[in-house]
Amino acid sequence: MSITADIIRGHTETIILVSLLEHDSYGYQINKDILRKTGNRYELKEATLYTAFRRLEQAGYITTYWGDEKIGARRRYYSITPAGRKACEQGLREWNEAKSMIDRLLAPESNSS
Amino acid sequence: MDNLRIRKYMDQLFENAPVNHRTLEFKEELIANALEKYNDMVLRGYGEDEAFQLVVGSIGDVQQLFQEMGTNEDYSHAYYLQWAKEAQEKKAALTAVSAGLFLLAGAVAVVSLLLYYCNVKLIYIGGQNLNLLGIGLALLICIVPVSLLVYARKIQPPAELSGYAAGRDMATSENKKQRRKRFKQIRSSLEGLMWLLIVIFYFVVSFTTHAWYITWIIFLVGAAVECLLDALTKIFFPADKD
Repeated sequence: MSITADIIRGHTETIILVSLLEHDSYGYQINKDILRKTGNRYELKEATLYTAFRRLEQAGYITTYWGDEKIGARRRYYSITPAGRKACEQGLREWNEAKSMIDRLLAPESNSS
Repeated sequence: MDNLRIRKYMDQLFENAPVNHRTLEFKEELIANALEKYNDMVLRGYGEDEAFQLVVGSIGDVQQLFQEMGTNEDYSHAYYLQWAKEAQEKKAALTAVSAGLFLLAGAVAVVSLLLYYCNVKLIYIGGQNLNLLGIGLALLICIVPVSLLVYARKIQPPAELSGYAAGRDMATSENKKQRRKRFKQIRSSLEGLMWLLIVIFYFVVSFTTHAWYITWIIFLVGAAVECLLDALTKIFFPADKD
């Protein structure tokens, strides 16, 4: 499990970018998406989310704006930039590469001749 | 009720955080997420305590973050904004009152001139038509709005903000220069118009009243108005010291 958590943590920023591809979102909604996708097994801590948001913002991958909720606290929305979409594709490509590499590395060499 | 519990918890959490706009925004974002999560969990049937613990547990280590979020110095930003807002409201009120008094002075001057030229014996002492005293009264009234405007201009940020405000003013001085230039252009064209109107007024009044011996005073009034405009320009758009 700790390997899984490590791998997920290593992809926090790509996970966030992917969840912003379809529509703008905010912290809790992104976490809900993650919970739903992982069958309630994984969610990001608020501190982790915040750090990732700020890093993505500085890199120019996302922009942020405040919602206009009349009651309660305002939501802070994030939206992905064109540069963010490129970074997202890059992240997905790298992950697919790593995945197939690890698959090959961990596969028993049954049909070697 | 339980929203209050979450807010209280956040207040405690941020007790040792630096006070600046980054931490204030972080806190607001955190509260919004926490409240929504809490309400969702209660709706899904979690007990209030259980929901609260889950929400609090999902915050993670923020103390580490606080250390990276700078110092209190940005505090003056929020403080300055608040001061600026209050100062602006005060200035707006003073300006409105001043404008009203200027209008009153103008009305008094016009009425007294009308009374004088129509020879209405409203204030008629010792065979002298003293309606022109109204002009003096109008000028006296003008003292009040001019003082108010000077006072409004002199409103300074509190001492602990003066350094911050000076830095901000420097950033806006370029903007100010442009405004000053535009104001000057508008003023000179308005002045041209004013003198034209004064000349027309002079002839109209003189030909209708035949009081040529006194109507030249109109030009003095015009000159006085111009001096006043000049003074106001200097008050509102002081020359840059560079």
